[in-house]
Parts: sequence; C-alpha cells; structure tokens
Amino acid sequence: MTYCKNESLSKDELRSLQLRRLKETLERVYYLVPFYKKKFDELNIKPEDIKSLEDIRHLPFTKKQDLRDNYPFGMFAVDLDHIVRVHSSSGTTGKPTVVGYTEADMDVWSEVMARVLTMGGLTSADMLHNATGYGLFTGGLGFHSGAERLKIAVIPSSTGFTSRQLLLLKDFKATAITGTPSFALHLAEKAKSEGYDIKRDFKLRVGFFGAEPASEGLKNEISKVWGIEYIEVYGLSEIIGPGVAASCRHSHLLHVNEDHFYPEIIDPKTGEVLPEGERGELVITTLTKQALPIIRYKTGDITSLTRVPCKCGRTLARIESIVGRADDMLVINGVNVFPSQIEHVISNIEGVTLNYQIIAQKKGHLDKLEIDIELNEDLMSDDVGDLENLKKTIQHALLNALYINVDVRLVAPKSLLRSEGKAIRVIDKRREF
Amino acid sequence: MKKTVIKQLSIFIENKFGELGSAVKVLKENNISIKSIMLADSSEFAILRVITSNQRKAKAVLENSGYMVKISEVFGIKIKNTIGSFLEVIEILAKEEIEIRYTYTVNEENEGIFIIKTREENIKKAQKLLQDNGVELLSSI
Repeated sequence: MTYCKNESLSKDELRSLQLRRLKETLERVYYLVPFYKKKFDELNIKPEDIKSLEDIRHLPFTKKQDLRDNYPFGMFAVDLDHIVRVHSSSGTTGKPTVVGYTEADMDVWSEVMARVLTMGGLTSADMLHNATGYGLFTGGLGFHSGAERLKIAVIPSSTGFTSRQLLLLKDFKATAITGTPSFALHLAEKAKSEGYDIKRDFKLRVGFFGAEPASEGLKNEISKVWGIEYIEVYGLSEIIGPGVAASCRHSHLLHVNEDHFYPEIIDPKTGEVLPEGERGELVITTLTKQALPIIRYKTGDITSLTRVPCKCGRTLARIESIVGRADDMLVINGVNVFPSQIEHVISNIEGVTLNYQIIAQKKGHLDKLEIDIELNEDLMSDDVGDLENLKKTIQHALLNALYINVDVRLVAPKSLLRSEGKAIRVIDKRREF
Repeated sequence: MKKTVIKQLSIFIENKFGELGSAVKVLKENNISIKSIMLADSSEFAILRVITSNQRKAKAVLENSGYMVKISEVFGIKIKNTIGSFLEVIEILAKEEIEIRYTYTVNEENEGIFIIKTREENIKKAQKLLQDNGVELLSSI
C-alpha cells in the first residue's frame, strides 16, 4: 500500500519530474538567496547550465556551518510574511540552526509523513502514540502532521513521564508508537519493572523509530520485546524533519522520498559522487522546498544507495540504515571503520554488554585499535579461561566482519566513563598529534 | 550426603595497582574476615576468589562499593599433609574424567584443606567419588 502515485513512478517519469523541480529550485535559490548567488558566481555556474540530473555534481555543497553563519533567517528564500513555522536544532557548538516552512512546505511535510505511516500499514482506524519530542525539535510535530493527514487518532504524548505513558498506552490501546529507539527500550524496561505483561497489556503492532542510530541488534531487541514491526524513519530538520526516508514492511532499506529530496552518495574526503551501492556520505538537494531550499546538503550520515525496486511496489531509491557519521569514521591502517559496525558485531556476542569504548592510537607507524567492553553481570563466568575465550571470540568476530585486528579488553560493568549517562564511544588519541 | 557445598565469592577486578587492596579494604571495613583467598589473573583483569566469615554480607558490601561479585559453588576436602596425598585425589577424579577447573588451599597445621572447583554438573559426582575413596569432605571452613 502506498500513499500517493509519486512513490511508484517509472524511472523516466521520476527523473523528468526531478529535473523539472531541480531547475525551478536552482532559479529560486540563485535569484532569492544571496548565499547561493555568491557561491554559484564563484564557480561560474548559472542555473541554466544544469541540463540533466547528472549535472548536479557541478553544484556547490551546503554545510551545517553555512546555516549557522546565516543565523537566523539568512538562507530563507521567502519573506517572513510567508513563513508559517520555524524549528531550530540545538547548537551543541556555536549557534543553533534555524529552519522555516511555508504553507506549501507544511503540505509536503505532512504528505511525506503520511507516506511513512502508510509504509507501516497505518490507516484512519489506527491510534498513534506519538512519544517523539514536541517543540523546537521537528520529530514530534512531523509525525503529528502525517497522522492528522491520514485521520489517525494521535496521542501527542511527547517524551518523559514514562509511567503515565505506559498507563495511556494500555488504557487507550494504541496500535502504533513513535519515538527514539532508546526511549522504546527504556519504556519496555519500565513496563517490566512496573509489572506490566507487555504482550498482553498493550495492543501495539508497529513502531516508527528514528532520530538516533540503532544497530541491527538493537532494532531486533525492540521488535522482540514489544512484539512489533520496526519501521525506521530518517530525516533531518535542515531538509524537512522526519520523512526524508523510511523503511517499509518488506525492506530494511529506507525509501527516499526522492521526488522531494534528491539523494547522492559522495566520498566524504574528495566530494566525488560514488557509484550505486558504494558507501559514502549522503548528500541531499531539496526539490520542492519553498522557505529553505537547500542545494547538496552534506548530511554527515554514511550510507549507500540502491535503485533496485522494492517488493512493496515503490520505485524510489533506497538507502541502508545509517552506518555512521562521516565525522566518526575511523581509518585504521587504511580500512574504514564505523563505531556502529563494531557495535553490530558486539551485539551478536553473548556475555558482554553494548557499553564499549573504542580507543585508536599509534603504535610506531601503525594504527592500533583497542576496545574496552563491559561484561554482562548476569552471564559472567568466574573462570579466567572462559573470559579469555570470550575475548578471543570477539576479536575473531571483528577480524572476520571488519578485517581489522582489535585488542579487546573485558572490563567490569559500569566501569567505563560516561558523560551525561551515555558512554563515550570513541577516543582517537591519534588526533592529539 | 549432608550439605557439603561451599559458597565462594568471585570478584572481578582490574589488573592494576591498588585494585586488590581496595577490594580487601571493603571487607576489612565491614569487619569481615577472610578464610581463604586466591587470585587468578590474566593480562588485564583478575578474579579474586574468597571465602569469608559472612559471604552474604561480603557480597552485599562489595557490590555496594561497585564490584561485580558472583557466587559460585565449590567444595572442600581435608587430606593428610603427606607427599602424594593430593595426587591421589586428582587421580580419583581423573579416572571419571572430572576436570578440576581450579583449586586452592587453606592452610592448617597438620592437614591440608583444598578448595576444589569442578564444572557445576560434576560437583556431586566428584564429592561422592572422593568420599567413597576415604577423603574427608568439609561442610564449611
């Protein structure tokens, strides 16, 4: 089941629609956004020079810093008069980034979110417990607008108040839930400790999760503990919010709503466009955004893209679940390694937890990778031999999966440093030199 | 056979200077005496095995101080302090292919007390074998 016909256009139909929309977007940014006029002029590019979708590679990139530099509204292509909504993401370093929406943008947003919810099989007969944060963050309101468009009963519960959320989930009998993967796990733990029988007390059958990376192991755990289908939702406020892409019931890969958001995969170091199937940084150009059109936005997310059609009937390009952040990528003796890949390997091994710390350092001229992993208290053996074997098993699994030699150190539970409750995942000591 | 299983505490500690001292200090500060102790170490961690005057209290106070503590079952035997007496014990078990995972002693004047760890499923069998062969089992130390 699809929400609208643009999800299953033929290749030619889709490409001509994308090209037409791209040309319109380039005209608008060149004449309405001084930032882009300057960038295009520097590269000696005029909007009319872009004659095919492939020509997009000649256009300049946009970075998060560009949005900060033009804080708050400098990148907007419309007068504030036409803005109906403003969201902002927290700036952990420097100024926050600000995004705006016209009425037409809100319409696109609710449309793509309606597509996402339809991918999970939701109809007006469902009830959606929306445990994604409301407010300046785009997550909660994004899901909300899609649900309203489909006439789904939406419970705007936002985050926090876990006990009350469980009570509402049980009494209202919601059939679907949204949130971050970590909140979904937290809710399940709380449900168990408060004596709920998860399978019997709740009527959930599908969950929509996003906003933070989740390994395959974590997704399976959430599916299993709640007894639900796991739909992964990808998005970022700079492009629109949630709704850029989502997985469906037939595929772990995420369908990109590319009639609105044109995806490319580039080499994060050289900026060259990579062929289909290769992993690199996801770059997105908005094709229909009015308030904040963005050309070749560097998302910082690492993934790969395929155009093989999905069993569900959608012909849209699909990306794999985000493998890591371009910033987090470690190059260990020439091999690219993402912390998420390491996490995936660890998640399949019994006896250890997912609390780990990766330490990269130089040993002579070579890179050396060390991983400290906290033992699982319940499964711990008091036999040194068993623990040594566990260590070898992990080292072997990492060598097999990632082609890297890793020194594994098993450490006691809760012994790794945490900042604000979260473990510090990567320490790259090589950067100090 | 009367209850002859001894509860031993295994404490996971990092193999670095000061760790052993701080674990033992927790016991001292809580007025718990150590009856027997054995340290097994690898390159980066160590497992400290102790039998104390109050195992339940010891586990609670150690965990409270952030240590990972596991209770495992071992048993004790008392044998003559003569050359070859422990070898006899090993041979009794070896005949039935019972593997000793680890063992340590509690020293007394004229007799040797050995604490023995086998795989859990073998504990009862091992004890019976030894008893049948005239080895004295301890109900506590």
